[in-house]
Amino acid sequence: MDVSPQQTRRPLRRAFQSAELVLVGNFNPAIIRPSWLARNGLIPDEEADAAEITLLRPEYAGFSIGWATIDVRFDRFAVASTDESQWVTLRDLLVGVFALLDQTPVSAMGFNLSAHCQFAEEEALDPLLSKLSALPAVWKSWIDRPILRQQKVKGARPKGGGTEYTIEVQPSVVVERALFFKAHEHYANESEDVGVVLDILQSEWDGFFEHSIGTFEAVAYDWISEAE
Amino acid sequence: MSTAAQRFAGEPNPGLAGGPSRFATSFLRPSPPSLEGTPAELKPTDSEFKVSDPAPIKSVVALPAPPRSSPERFDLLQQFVGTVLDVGEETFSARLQDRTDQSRGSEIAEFDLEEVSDFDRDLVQGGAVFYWSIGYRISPSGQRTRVSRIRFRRLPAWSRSDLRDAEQAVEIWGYMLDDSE
Repeated sequence: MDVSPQQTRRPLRRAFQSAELVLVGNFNPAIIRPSWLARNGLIPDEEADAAEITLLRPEYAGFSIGWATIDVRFDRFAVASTDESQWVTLRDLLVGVFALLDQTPVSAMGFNLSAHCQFAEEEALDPLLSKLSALPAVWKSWIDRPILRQQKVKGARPKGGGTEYTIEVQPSVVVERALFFKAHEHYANESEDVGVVLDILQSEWDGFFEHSIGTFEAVAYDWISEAE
Repeated sequence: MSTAAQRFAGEPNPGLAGGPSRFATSFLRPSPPSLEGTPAELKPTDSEFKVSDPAPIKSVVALPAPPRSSPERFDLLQQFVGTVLDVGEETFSARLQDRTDQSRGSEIAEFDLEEVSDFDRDLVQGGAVFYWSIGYRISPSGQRTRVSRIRFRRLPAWSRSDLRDAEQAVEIWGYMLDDSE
């Protein structure tokens, strides 16, 4: 399948996007505090002072620093941002944290992107959704009025280094004339060396977004082309 | 006749649902930590995008936590990564590379120091890396304002392993100097 964005159409408008970086390993939530990030020069003091705290406990740290939310448990470290201009800063933040905590065992890393992709007014959405909801006939024998609610395609990103790459799509029930896409790339790290993870993060983070957004648009417009 | 879009009405909202209830499943079996992200932060009242009608049938699925609303949104048009070349009294020059179109070559530009946030001002030094983002800031009421933002990269200058290596080097040099005396 050609996954490159089709230049003949204008790009889909992406709404309510979110990028999230997740590490799985052994973490100490008691360390990760806005003040600790500021003290180590990873965020400005002003952002630490203005942080919105969800919960800070020895076993959990959850807070927002305006452009990013941070969620740390014993086995999971996640940073997320809905601001596309800060996705690169999200990567830098994680690199900074684990340059300091460089003995932390990390067994896996996940890149995540979700977005509601909105079509232009003139695009016919109904045929597209009908195509998405098409199911093999066998289902009709067992379920009345069956529809396929979601498509999830699993494989590997071309030129990507991940263990697994997954794209999910379903009609958006939040934004009109839109499809809701989720992309996820999984990196297993048998060595548990956080340095390995940081190297991958620096080399693959941008490519993941470029490819995922291209795939969202290509898949959506491929359906439209076939529906026309 | 119902449209395809209407047929999907009443389905759990992919952005809001946030997956199955953690409470409901937590006492059945411990779930392994997931690498998948949580859904996009949503603002159903955002006037920029027309939001679908609420589901006509109430769902018995456990309700997720209410979405956090952020005061504004930023639509990115173009982003450059810059490296500071020279810093003057009121301006600094930098080499820029377009992150949104990496096929374009680098270029040199001059910025007013006034463009830099106060908290980043100390970071404006030769060799420092920053991100210059151009886009629309969209207020909760839908007001679009074209803005340019500069944010300097913050990475710890010294990691623990760097410091450890430096300490070892000092020790080794110390022994070597002692031996030579």
